[in-house]
Amino acid sequence: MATEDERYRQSSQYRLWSFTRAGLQDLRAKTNSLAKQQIAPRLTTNPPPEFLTAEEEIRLVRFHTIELIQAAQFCELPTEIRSTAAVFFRRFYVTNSVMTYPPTELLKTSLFFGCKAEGYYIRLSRLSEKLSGTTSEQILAGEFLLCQGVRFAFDVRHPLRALDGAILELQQRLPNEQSRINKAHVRAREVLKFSALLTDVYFHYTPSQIMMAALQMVDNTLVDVLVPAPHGGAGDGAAGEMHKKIMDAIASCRVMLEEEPPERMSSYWETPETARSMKPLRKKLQRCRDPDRVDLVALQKARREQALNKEKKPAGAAEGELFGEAISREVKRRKVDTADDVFGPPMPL
Amino acid sequence: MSRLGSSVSIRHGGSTAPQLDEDETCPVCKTTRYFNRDMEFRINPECYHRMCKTCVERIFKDGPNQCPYAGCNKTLRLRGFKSAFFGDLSVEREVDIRRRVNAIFNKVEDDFEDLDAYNDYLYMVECLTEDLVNGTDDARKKAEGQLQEWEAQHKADIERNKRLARETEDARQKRLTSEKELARQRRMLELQEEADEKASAARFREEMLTSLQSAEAGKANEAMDKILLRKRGQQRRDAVLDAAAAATGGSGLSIRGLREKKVQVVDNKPYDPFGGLDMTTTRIDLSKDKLSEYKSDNLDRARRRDEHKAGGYSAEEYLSRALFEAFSGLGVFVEEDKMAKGVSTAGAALAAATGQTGGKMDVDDLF
Repeated sequence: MATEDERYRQSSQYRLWSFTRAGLQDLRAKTNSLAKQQIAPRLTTNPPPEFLTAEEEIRLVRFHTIELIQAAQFCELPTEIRSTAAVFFRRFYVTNSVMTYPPTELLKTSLFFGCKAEGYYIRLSRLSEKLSGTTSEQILAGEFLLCQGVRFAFDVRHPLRALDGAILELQQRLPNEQSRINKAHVRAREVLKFSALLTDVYFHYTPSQIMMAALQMVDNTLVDVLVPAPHGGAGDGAAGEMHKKIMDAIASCRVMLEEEPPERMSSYWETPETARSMKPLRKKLQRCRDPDRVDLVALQKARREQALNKEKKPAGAAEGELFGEAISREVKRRKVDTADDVFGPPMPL
Repeated sequence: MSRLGSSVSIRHGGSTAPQLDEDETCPVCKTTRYFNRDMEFRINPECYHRMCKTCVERIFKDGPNQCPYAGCNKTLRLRGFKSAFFGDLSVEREVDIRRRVNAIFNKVEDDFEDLDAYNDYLYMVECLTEDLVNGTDDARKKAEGQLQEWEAQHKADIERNKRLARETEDARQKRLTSEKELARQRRMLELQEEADEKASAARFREEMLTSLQSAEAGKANEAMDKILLRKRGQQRRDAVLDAAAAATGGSGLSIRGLREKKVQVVDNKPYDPFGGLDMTTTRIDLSKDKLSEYKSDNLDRARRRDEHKAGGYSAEEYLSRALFEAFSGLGVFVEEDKMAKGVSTAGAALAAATGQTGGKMDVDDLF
């Protein structure tokens, strides 16, 4: 048992946010069905509209992840933060439905919170200025929700630094192939910046496996240099078996990464079919989303007030029962107070 | 027992007794105090019969002898005689008995599992004492037998407890003296502060007067304001200082009579922040020599240039981290691990099942 693996097992990414494929699928299906159950009674339209399926939700999340990446690029945020924000966003929508919380809002919150989690300071007002049509309250409203959604696991292990390490190691082992390694480095980075964030690899594989898979995608044999087969031929003894398992994991991770090759990043918007397929989905989402949670700012405000009222309740409730008109009196008092202000505040002397 | 010191007034028979009865007579030799001013009475805990010091000397100087009282057949020795502390000899006797019993049954509450056990023990001891003091002959004999048997059986325990008691007594003494010393220091400090305050008040007054004197006519108010402002600033500074002193824990608060809790030290191994996690790497060598072999433009720049180094940036640190991450978790197979454990992320499953993410943090109970 390698100590490196033991150390990775301590991370929240492994403990909380790693799933089997079946497990993740299950989780998403459950999230979807629960969201349906909860939203259905709140919708006023009759008959109730058609809800999104779990499959459609995944597509919507993916679509919004691309938007998030573009927004981060537009705000000139470093790659690590972009990745962290994207992972937060995706993690949030594993246990929350797109129909429950609007992804367009959570996207901005993820960006802001990604900066926080990576220790990168960006002024809130600057960010809200950059993202036109967004107020700072909008960004902050979903912040606690997001934290809960990612289960307070703010440490995201990215394969990016691992790639740097691997490239250094490769340069050490293959000193005569610098240009090949550099080319692979650039392209693998592209893969990690895009494909890794759009697919579920963060949920199913470890950072180093993802990194190796990306390397394998761009240059087939480099991984064999990094993870050489044990001496005496593969397939004998524990070492051989381990090597085979690692290679299998890398291969299957690679298959997953190849679903979203980095070339699609630039062409995502140009292809008319994606735009066309997204449009009905978004319309459908408009119809079936939770009416109470569309406006996160109002929701947060209501929650705050509720929390405040909860503390005051014992005294307030008793009084209300005794003096039925307590509330109207309060309103009157407020009216009188404001009436005093008709002529404005007293003149400064 | 320390309480006895305050009950000196009930004591007589000793030479220090306040008023001496002129007609007091020794029941043995019939001498009155009138003839012998220094007459002192002695008793022997065997039978508690009073007699004067001269009689004791006379009768028991040559070895054990019978008690001179008629009908008392106890054999007494010179060594056993003492002067009575209490005027009432029955009290003297009871105190003696209690002292003896307490010396033998000298367990403390900490020796018992719980309070009930301790209380049972105390009750048993009290019953035995009562038998010894007021019991009938039979009861007394029986109790005496029990006491002696216990003493013989638990000699070691009794010795140990005695020693412990002495030690705690020492510790208590020490604590008391140190507390006294601390209190004295506090008092000194307070006095000092008071004096300072007085001095500053006097100075302020003087200053005011002189400035009023030197200020131009009609500008007295201004001068006053200036002084007051200065004083206020001084006070504010003082307040800040006080707050700082309070924050550092010099509040001078101490609670008496708290039992000192002994912390059990299991072992003295150095603290391991990683909880036994092995930090050496197996897939790649991260030794210093090895790290220095890695070269790239960025690394070289970070190693060489002062603006990187000055801030504490270490290229080696980055290098070891990057290399570690390149191989960390390579042999962790999520699919396999999580399958074996069922849903180890039970919380996530639950979150999905309830549709809430934060467990009980009321997310969804608003509407």
